[in-house]
Amino acid sequence: MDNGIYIALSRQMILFRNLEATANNIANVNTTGYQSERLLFDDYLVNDGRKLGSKMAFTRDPISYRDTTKGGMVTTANTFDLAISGPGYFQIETPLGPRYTRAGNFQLNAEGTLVTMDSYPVLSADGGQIVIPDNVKNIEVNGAGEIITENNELIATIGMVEFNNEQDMERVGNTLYKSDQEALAAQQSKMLQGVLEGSNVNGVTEIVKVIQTNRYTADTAKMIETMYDLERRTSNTLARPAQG
Amino acid sequence: MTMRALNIAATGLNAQQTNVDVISQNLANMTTTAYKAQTPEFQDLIYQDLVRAGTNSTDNGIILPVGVQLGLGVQTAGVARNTNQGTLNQTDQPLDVAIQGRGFFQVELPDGTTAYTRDGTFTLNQDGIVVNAQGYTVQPAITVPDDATSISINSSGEVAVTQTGVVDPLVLGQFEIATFINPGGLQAIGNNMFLETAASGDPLLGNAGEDQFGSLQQGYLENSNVNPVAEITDLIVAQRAYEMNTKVLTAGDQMLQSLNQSV
Repeated sequence: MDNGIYIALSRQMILFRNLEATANNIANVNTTGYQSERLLFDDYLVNDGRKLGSKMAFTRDPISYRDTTKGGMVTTANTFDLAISGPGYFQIETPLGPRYTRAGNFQLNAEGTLVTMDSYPVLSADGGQIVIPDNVKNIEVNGAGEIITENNELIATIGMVEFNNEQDMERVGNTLYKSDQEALAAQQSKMLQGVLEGSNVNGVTEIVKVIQTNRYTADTAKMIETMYDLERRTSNTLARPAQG
Repeated sequence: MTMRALNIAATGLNAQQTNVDVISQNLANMTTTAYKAQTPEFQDLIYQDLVRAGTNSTDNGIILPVGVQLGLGVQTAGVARNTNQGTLNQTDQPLDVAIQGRGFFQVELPDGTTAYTRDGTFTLNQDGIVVNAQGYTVQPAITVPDDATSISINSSGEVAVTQTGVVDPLVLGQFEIATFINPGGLQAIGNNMFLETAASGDPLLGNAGEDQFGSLQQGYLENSNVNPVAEITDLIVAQRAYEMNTKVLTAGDQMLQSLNQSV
């Protein structure tokens, strides 16, 4: 069979992956702190074995990367709805080790510990859990992440960390990230109270991608059809018995 | 071949459905006394590592800085209750009481358990006992005598009556307020009432106005804290997000179709 069909097929596979990445972005258009995932494509060259220097280009997706532009801020006025302005992350304690997130939709559990929606404790700047006492009326969280009561008492400082390379962080679901890099104390980040960071998915670009991917698949399918047709006609012509 | 994109779009449709459900519940309770608006919180599902970061990209040991991670959609992490104070509405009914600040009134259910409510629409039953709109006794039980001419409830919850021919008002008792460390964890049972759960923590009882306990306001009721403008905006967003997910479904379907027809 002709290599052209295999090249077209490699493109079809990548287009399906692209649709999957886009589908995930669209599904998370309302997910607090979600950042969209993008695929990069390139070609890889294979020698076709017939002539020196003649190569075929197949499509592949070597990497996907996270769009780290910040999402829109949504005001909720809830005491423990926090957002980070700047490149910082909250530190979360999970049974599998520390995880990082930009989704600050926190709650208190029955013991008064500050936890995520999945009941994982939020860590303070010195790495401990944060416990809010029963008898406080009003709590304010300032830009540095300090939790302050109505009597100006400091309860704890919510940890904010930054990383040298934000792309070198792995998504583990539940809007959490994992990283082997050293978590540095935040320098350029500021905490906001009563605000949540919305998803940074841009609906318009994602829908355009869906339509494009759809068209490209149809085009490539047409290409495969043409090549198949060509092969059939060739064999029909060549295999025809001599006339007369 | 399984088509991940179709399943991912389905998780998105489910999430938006939940979103619309919660918004409609909020809008339906826009004028319910002391109703607290709810917000669904979403999270991304787990990821598939198609190409792991740190693998070799060539034979001579160059390492890929990032891999290919494909997500599998969205899930509802929970529906949080917004515990912000609602505005107060003046009713001038002597037994309408609103809580300003933290706390809940306690009412006794027919089975003897205690329910918690911020709806202070109280009345007297046939025996003169202060009850809520469902007829359940407000704790601790306070009985108002027949000959009372007026009832006053002060900010710390003390109920006093004046009687004909008596100069000094007669103090009948004091409402007890309960606070929870995590009021968002209470279980709603309808009729504006909540039950204690393992997530809410144990109730802390005390007098209104002291420490963390909110103060009471006679002749007022707490309005719902639903913000209709925000809800309608969210509804539009949810509807558009739903449409976008259906668009992915259609595109995925058409792509499979063109693939099938080409061979």
